[in-house]
Amino acid sequence: MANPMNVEQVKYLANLARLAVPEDQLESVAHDMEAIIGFVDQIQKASLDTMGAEEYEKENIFRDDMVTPIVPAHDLIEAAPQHQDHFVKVTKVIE
Amino acid sequence: MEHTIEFFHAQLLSGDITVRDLVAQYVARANSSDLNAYREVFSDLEEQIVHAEKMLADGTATALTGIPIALKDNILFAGHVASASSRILEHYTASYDSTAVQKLKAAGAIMIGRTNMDEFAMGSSTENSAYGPTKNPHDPTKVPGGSSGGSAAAVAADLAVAALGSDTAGSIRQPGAFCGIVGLLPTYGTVSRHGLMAMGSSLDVIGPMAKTVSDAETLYNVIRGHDPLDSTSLPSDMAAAPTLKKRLAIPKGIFEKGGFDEELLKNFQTTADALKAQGFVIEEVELPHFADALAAYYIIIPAEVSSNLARFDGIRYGDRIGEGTVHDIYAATRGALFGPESRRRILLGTYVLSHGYHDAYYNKAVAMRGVIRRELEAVLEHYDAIFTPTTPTPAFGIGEKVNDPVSMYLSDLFTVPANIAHHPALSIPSGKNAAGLPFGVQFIGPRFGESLLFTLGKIIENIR
Repeated sequence: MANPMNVEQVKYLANLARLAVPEDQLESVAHDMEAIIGFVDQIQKASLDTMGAEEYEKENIFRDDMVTPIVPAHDLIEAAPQHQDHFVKVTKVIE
Repeated sequence: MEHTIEFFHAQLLSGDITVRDLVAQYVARANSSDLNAYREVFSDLEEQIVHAEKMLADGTATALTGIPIALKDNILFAGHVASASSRILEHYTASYDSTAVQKLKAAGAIMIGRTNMDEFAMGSSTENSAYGPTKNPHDPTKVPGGSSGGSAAAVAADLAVAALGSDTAGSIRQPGAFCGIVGLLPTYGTVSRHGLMAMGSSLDVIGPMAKTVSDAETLYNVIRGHDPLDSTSLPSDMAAAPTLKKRLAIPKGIFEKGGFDEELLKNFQTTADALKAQGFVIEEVELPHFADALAAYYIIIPAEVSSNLARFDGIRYGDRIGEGTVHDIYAATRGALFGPESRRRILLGTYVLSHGYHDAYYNKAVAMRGVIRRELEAVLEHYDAIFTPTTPTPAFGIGEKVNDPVSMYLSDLFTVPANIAHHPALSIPSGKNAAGLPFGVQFIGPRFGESLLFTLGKIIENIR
């Protein structure tokens, strides 16, 4: 089922995940992922005669619109690695 | 047993010990320990001590008032660093209290420190902490289990009276077994996840780790309850009180797979025989997909991890690395500050959710969850609990499995089905091997059947 995991595929996934993987680790990451995918592939063999089994019952949870104490915005902004004048600092997004 | 919640509660009420002295004793022990169980022993305990003293003085003390409790490093306690033992949150200070901490505060408990863990709760040995492994108090060359290994070691070495951990695949019960303490995975939804750093949101549960079943019960009853701030929280009145049938089920064929420790299997058999001598009927039952829970888990968990850990981007929390575009900062920060297991699971999650693989993996794993849950529920109509060893082996050596993720994952074989199916499960110490390493046995109960698990756990304690 699964394609063998290789260095190119790890690079592709790392880009999607916004996660830099150093060149010299790509090989070992591919190797470990290959082993894990090999393990979880047993789920392909499992006979699920009740395939399409319903997932858990889920329901929407609504809360009344009430004024309650909340975490001050100031504290949340302070938690950002870089902030200035009560704003989170972000680098330029639009060229 | 001494040094339990029950023991110190009586001492505090009678005045044989003061809150201040009790806290000082535990802080001193925690600070002088070399197990690396704590990431930090808090130094600002005065307010908590004064609050507990006042409760004792005015007659409003609860069973937890003045009792030193350790918190896993992924549970938010306002004004204190909570790092999930990751470098990316090394300098992150919690802006608010988790609901569990609020409830402990209201009960007058003393949160004395935060404990080491596998980074973001991913692991079974505490070796994935960015701050070095915790050592097993029974043998410092062995792991304490994980991911709540710091909490387990702290309780086992009496560096805390009890602790909170979190359990996504066995992270309370497996270290509980490795360190010889009691650990409860509560029914998903009975304890609020508000303020618990999310790893696998459909699986994570906060639970108690304690020296006795009775202490675990006390702690559970304080932290449980409906919480509007957690939309997966369930109504508080769903607790079932099934009567004891004295019937236990062992999944058929589960021991045929191999890889089990001989002495551990013998211990399990001895424990089963002792239960039979008490009038229990123990039977093998068909649970055809019990062992498939692990494969389903290692599809679902990376999927949820890759989504939940997307928030750690170097912009909103924690630390930032690198310059350039936003994409460059995201990639550099996450690449440099997440450890190898977190990176592996983020990449795997990205893979199983990607176009072409979503149906083959994720949807199949979700369907498998439903199947496993129905199988457990069918069996638990006729039995009190499913009875297994907690782990396939006793504590393994530090470094032994660190380069083999799949072999590490197999530590969760017996524990993960309960998480997958949202059932509660209790691990209780069942003796030690010749080298002095603890064994544990596990009961998986019906949903909301915690009281039944406590009854079974106390029977095990009494036959030991």
